[in-house]
Amino acid sequence: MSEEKLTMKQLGALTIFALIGDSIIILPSSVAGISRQDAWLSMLLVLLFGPAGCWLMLRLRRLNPSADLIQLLRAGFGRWAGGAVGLAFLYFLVLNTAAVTRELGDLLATQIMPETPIRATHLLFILVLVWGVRCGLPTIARAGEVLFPWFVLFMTALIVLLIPRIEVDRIRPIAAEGFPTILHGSIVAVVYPFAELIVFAMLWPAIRPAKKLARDFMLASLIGGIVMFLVVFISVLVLGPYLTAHQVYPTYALAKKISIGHFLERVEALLAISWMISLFFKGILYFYASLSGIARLFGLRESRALATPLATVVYGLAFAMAPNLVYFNDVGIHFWPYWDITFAYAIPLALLAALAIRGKKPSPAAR
Amino acid sequence: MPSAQTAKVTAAADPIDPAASRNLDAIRTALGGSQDLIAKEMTLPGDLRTALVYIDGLSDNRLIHSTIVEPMQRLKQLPEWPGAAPGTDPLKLLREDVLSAGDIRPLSDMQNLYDGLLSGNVILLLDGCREALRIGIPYWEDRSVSEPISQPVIRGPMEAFTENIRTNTALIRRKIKDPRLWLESMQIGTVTKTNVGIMYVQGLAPDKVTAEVRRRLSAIRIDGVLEGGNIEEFIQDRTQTPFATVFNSERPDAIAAGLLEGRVAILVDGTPFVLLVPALFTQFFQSAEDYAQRADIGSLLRILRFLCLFIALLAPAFYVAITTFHQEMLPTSLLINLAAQREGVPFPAFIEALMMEITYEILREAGVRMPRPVGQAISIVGTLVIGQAAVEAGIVSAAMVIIVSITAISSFVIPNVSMSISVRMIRFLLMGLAASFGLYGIMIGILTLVLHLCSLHSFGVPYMSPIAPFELDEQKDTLFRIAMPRMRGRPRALAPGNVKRQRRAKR
Amino acid sequence: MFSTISVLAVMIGIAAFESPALWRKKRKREIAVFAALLFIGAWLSVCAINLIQLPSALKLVEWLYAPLDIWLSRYVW
Repeated sequence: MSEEKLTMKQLGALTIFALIGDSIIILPSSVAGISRQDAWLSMLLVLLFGPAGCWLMLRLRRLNPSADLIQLLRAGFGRWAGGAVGLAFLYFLVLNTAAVTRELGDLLATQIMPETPIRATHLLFILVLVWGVRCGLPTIARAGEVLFPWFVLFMTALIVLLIPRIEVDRIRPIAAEGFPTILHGSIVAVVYPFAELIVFAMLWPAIRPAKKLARDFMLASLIGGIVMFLVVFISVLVLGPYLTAHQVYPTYALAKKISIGHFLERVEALLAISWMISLFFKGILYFYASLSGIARLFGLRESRALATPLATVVYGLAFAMAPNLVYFNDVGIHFWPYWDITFAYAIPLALLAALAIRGKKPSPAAR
Repeated sequence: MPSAQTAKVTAAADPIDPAASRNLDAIRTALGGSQDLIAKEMTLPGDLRTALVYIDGLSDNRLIHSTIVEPMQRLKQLPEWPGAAPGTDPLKLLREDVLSAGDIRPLSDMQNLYDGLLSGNVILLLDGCREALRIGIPYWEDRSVSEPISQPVIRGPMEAFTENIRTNTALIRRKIKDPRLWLESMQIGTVTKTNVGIMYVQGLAPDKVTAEVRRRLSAIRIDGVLEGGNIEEFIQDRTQTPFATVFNSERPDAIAAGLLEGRVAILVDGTPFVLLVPALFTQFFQSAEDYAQRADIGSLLRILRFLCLFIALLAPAFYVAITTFHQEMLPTSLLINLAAQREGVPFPAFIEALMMEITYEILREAGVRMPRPVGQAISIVGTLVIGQAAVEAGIVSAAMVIIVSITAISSFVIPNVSMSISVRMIRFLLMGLAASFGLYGIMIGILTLVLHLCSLHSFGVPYMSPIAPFELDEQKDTLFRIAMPRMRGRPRALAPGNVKRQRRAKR
Repeated sequence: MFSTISVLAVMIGIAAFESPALWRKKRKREIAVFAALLFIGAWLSVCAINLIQLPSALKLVEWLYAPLDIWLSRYVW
């Protein structure tokens, strides 16, 4: 494992990928399901809350830039309690990896390639995850840099090519849903993109210390947030609130609507494949974090070899997570946000408080 | 082919026998009485017996006559010679005063003697001396400097390296006339004893890289080195990759440009392809022509090349994926056409593509081996004619022939052969993935490929620099080619500390 | 049946591939974690391959947060 650390640009690219990750596929329907045509207002609120949550993650880093979350947990809550929380956190990470895999599999199986068994798509995806982790984090970061412009290209194409289909009427009446609903919508909307950035708390040690790190991280998350806002906005404007809420994959439906001169049509498969890129990076960051978390928690020195067994766990979990798509989405909209909030905001807040009370900074050698 | 097992070597550091005739016999026996070993014995005044040994064909006969034999014969005319007196050093006198050749060195053991003899030097043995002289006047039939075969350009220098390492170093020195251009030599290959040279610009090339090159080259233990490619496999960072991490070129200007960027060149006697390290992915898409033409044309050509990379890599895969899984992506009229074409074809798209691609590879390989006049015809006409016939026979569809042809032509746009070979191989993998999993398979393939590329290093530099890690100023020479006055820096990864190259020109 | 066997074969393959390196370095802890993960993974994967339904991992999430969700929907929005 080389000692090469990630640069700011790499961090930025990875942040945006992790933020957009699976949100691009399912977020608009979750938000629109609650705030209907005011989904875009919920997203504006998200632009306020989300980066605030990132600030929390940065605060954790400031305590000790070379410690990852597991170490901090142990320092804050003591060796055993911290370890228990750490274990729960690891479960969170592994579950998320499986969730990303499952989401991709579901998308492909229901929309693009229904005849391919989902177990095969999962297998391929997990194989690439293992390959990436074995190549190491610097390689993953570089790959992110390489693929980032392409992703930007596809996203821009998605948004720009849909502008002819916008009907402003669809967002009226504006703010009719009332503030509590819009707020509820934004709570749901903030977790998938922003809360799940907590994975970086496991990766801080691997990133090159830089003065502008905080600023760059917040900027990247803001950019990602703006992209998500645009996606939801376009979705409501083009599809309308009802369809956005009721389509399982609203962005896919959006992509179906692209039609240029009667020859550039039905390109949704191509765009879906581009979303695979962000899904992949989110998945691999979570996978890598799980791996390094396990190594840290159990005091192991070598985590490379554990990649394959963990991959089998993820593979099985991806399938076992939910018996069907309906249950998956149901839990996803109603309960998963609180799960995310617990791990991304509640526990870190408690940790900060605990560390402040204990009054000491954890040293890098803290176990 | 040279193997990695060391062959038995003749008696190594035996000292030279003071009796010239015994030496001569030893040499003759060692060479097994080879008929091209010429020995001329002479007696100098003072009854000094000398012998001249050389290999016919490796040394310059006329120079032997004029710089060695004639001066020594003139010596014989003298009644006496200071060198014959005891206590003097006749070899030193010969070397400094008598012989008029330029490169004369003393030798003191048999191994060096054999090395010198077989490299085209003339050996002068003198009775009573424990040393011999090695006179360097090599001359052999050589290919003259001609056009590069594998990397031609329309505008730019038309010189290419030859098989003679000395010619090659001279060609490079003609481009870079700075005293900081240093040449280090070593011999690699226990049987072939191939002359290998390392050239770099002291101060530009990072010491770490030159030290690493030296280290890796001296670690090579093999009986023979016949081509740069043999060395390449020893010094590259990782062998399990289809991508070359060592750059090679036939062109002195390309090598010189690399040296100016802080790279290190490795010359191998006997091959016109010179190696250059560290090598980066983007380098394989640059051609000397980009710099000879103007900036805007250069940029367009570069972009075209990257486009051809994508076509060569992905076109067949996309065809297979779309026609098998995602037919809705095609415009309706095209779809109907395609369906009509594929009506009578018995094979699925993947098999069709595979067959055509393999046929094309066969034709290509055959075209290279055929005698010149026939070869060109076979490649081009062959693909089209066979393709046409196959279409009419209903074995493949016309669209497939088009795809294969475009792919083939695109892969030729890639300037460097090593890279286009890699691309050709990977194309098949992507086709397989496309056939099994459609666009998803292609994306998986691309992800794996990108991950693999990003994990490669060439002598410590990440292979994908300057794309990743991203250096904004270096983009000037990657995708585009900004006008020369604006290219003010050297690639940071290659020559840290020597980034400034030009000062702002005064208008 | 065949799929179960192939999954188990893959697991054994993984073990054979990765463990010699760990054995040589005598990393007991790593081997323990490796084995544990492999067993859990094997069990889960066999279920996945054979399309056996297990109690969903998300049930835990649901159970934990159902009260919260109900309370919030009643009183807040």
